[in-house]
Amino acid sequence: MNAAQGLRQGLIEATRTLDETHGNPTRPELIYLPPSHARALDLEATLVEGIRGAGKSFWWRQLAQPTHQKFLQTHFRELRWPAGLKVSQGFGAGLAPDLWPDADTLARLAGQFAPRSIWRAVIGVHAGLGGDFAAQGRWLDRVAWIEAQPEAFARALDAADQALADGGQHLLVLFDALDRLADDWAQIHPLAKSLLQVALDMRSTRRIRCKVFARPDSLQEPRITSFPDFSKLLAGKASLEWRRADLYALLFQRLGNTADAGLTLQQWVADLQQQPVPTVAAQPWQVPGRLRTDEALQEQLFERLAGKAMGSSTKRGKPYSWLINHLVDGLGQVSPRSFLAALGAAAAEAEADAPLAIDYRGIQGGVQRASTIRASEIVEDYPWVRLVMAPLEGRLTVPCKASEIDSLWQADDTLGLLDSRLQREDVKLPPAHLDQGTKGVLIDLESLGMVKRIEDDRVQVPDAYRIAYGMGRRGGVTPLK
Amino acid sequence: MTPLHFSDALRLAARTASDANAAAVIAALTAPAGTAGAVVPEVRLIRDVHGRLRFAVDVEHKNYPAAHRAALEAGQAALGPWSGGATVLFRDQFSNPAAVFASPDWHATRVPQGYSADDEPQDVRTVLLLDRQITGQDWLRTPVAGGHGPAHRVVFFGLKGGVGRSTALAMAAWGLAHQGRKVLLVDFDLESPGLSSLVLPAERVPEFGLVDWLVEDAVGQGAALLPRMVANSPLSDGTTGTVRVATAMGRDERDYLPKLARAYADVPGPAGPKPLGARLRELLEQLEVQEKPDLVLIDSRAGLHDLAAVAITGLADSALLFATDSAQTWAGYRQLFAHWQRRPDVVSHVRERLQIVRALQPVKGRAESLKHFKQQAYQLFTGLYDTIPPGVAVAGAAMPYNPAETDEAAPHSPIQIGWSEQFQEFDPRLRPEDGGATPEEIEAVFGRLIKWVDDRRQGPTP
Repeated sequence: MNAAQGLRQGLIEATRTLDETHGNPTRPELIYLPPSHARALDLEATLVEGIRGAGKSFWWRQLAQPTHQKFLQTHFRELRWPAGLKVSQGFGAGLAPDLWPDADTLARLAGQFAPRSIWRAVIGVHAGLGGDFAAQGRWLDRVAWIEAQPEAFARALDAADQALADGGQHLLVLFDALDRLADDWAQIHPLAKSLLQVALDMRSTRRIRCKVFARPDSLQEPRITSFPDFSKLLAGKASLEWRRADLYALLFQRLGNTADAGLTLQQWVADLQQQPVPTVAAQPWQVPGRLRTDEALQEQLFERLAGKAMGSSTKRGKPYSWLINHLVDGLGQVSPRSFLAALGAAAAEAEADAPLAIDYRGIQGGVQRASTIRASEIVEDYPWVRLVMAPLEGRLTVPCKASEIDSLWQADDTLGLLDSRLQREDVKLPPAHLDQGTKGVLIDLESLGMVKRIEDDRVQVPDAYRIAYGMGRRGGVTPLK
Repeated sequence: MTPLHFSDALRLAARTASDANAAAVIAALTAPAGTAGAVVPEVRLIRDVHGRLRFAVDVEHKNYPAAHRAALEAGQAALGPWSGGATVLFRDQFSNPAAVFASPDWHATRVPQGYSADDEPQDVRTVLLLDRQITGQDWLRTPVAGGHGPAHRVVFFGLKGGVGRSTALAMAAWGLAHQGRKVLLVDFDLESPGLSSLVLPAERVPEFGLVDWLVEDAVGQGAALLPRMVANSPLSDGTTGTVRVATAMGRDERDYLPKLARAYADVPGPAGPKPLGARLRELLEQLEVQEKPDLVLIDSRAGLHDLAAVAITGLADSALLFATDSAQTWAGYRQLFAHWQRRPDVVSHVRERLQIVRALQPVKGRAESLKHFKQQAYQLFTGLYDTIPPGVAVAGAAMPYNPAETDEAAPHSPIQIGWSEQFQEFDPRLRPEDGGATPEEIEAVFGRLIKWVDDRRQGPTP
């Protein structure tokens, strides 16, 4: 295996997946914490928003593992966690009946009790409340006890808070996957809203804090956010945003810890920083501080993987910025998942004897692959998107007038079908502005980052989605045959 | 009957010619096998300096089918005042038919047929057109980019003056010299030469200017002038690079106007008359051989002028199009782009060397104004990009040229130059201690431009 092939294997390994199956956690050295995310992981950041793939579930999982916690604290000085931090999970994807009531149980409880009582019971369990509360063995009994004995609950919570303080400890309870609280939105809204309320309530304790990971669109939903003190939560909101430097630092962190490419990458990094070049790979290896934020240095390193230009000259751009420019959605965001997927595809497509690990053709192909992934993810989250995109697939050329989309939808009666489906069955996260017709649905697609409306009513579709839906792009030149 | 105007005439003639060509193809396909003379050469169009049109066919008169000729002559008559003659031009009508039919100025030209009475857009006819113009030919003359020495040529162009183009050029030269580059500045603005006063003290202006070379070269004395046409600019003092300047006008000039008046004339040469564009190209190549620069920065004449056409279309490896966000600017660029857009062969050569520059970027409301500028620029440049049809995407060399709106390397993605009071009426020759700009101040305003130009430079970093 020559150097380029080794790097290619390493890239494939490093970009394989950010998702993990149960019992198969990510190796800690493959974790990268962007400097701006440190605030999101802070004890005092109660509300954390991030788009799909930004790392909400990832951090929800990693923080709860003591080994990973320790690794993060050792290697990322931006994190300022207090000593004696206990982290536990209060809700998320999957089943953990000891930690939280599952969706069916939640549905049953919500039918009988105030939803806030449910979340108080969850906190009660994680805070280790004593007395009569501890004697209640089922979620149903715990919630019933809290509703019957509000004062006893308050005293027990205060005692637990005091015990944490006396023991020099802090408790952080993490909540994720709000869209899995129930099967339909009518039930999700009150549960999510009450969770945010309880999370805010806990900020008046000394040592108990909650952290709720949420998508931006749920934080724009009035049925979740319309309570008097929501503005307090919003004021302290932290975001999991991935800037360009963060994405490349993540790549280098992961690539530097792979078996096939680790040593080469570590040698390059040493060479670029004019330090002694290692002959044996460090394990675990940590991406150096300058390489986390210095884009010029990152670009030099990435050039060794991908070359200097997107073609025979830099007139068509440079791989470092081109890749990001073509993954960005209408909201200006790139998810680490699509970034890594594009690079993995570029490595997998390269010819075995090519001199570079990846080249511009591979990167172009990788962007196409990432677009496909992005489109299928959005449909998982918002099933109605499939219905409205189908009539546009392979037919639209953008940028276009809104009226062109309107006539394609008219021809298939798309919005009529969508409306009647919404009447018949409960569609998750339906478009909020469907009542305004085409214009309204375009507003909803824009808030998902799938389209961008430009002045004088034109609509642009970013490459992140355009490619997957086989849309053309307008130009003034029709090449001569 | 409504009168036929300039553009209508071309539409009508293009339709007649392309109909005739289509009929000839069908005739050839349906002719019985072995029939002689089934293949008929293509009907082309020649437009004279007044805009009058004439059909031309690269074949002897006697070998062209009479029926076809009659149809074209009827088409000729239909052009009314825009008809250049009653008959079709055949090979035998020209004294040197090869020079006409093999001219590099033939362009496959797309002629949209306009709109029907119901406002439905009509089809687009493509026809070979030879446009004989007194000026403006150079907008369509594209020698292969990079077909010269190793220096990268960057043309600085603006539709109108007063947008800080020359200041930007001077500061870019300083920035490049600061990186250790050898830079040659050439003032192509023959009709309002100004660059030299910005970058050279009066006593350092070279003995001869570009205009001198143009008149002396016409009588065979150009080469001897070259060493006396270039001077060192104090801009590179204190840097590790050099800035050398070739001015339009020489020192102590007293006969500029009579020289300028002769500069535009074609000069006879062994291969036929040499137009200004070809001569300026020769001059630049000779200067490059003498100076061996890493980069050549060319100050172009502003506006839709032939000197600008020579620079952008005929010389540039990269052409910076300075623009402010005004309707006048966009309308002017749209005209220029439409001229290219109709000739796909020209477009494919020119578009990738272009780069829009956001000049005098206001400080107030910067984000909002930049957003508007970017939208305008994107809309303008899509006119030069290939249409990507809906369907399956392709990668690699077969990918049509149509960069994404978000692509920072694309011609439509502006290089920003901020408005700064300091650089209005600015003397780049002043040292910081005498009121000049500090390297940090220059970097803050022109840093993006300097980096862009340096990135375009070919060859290894010294």
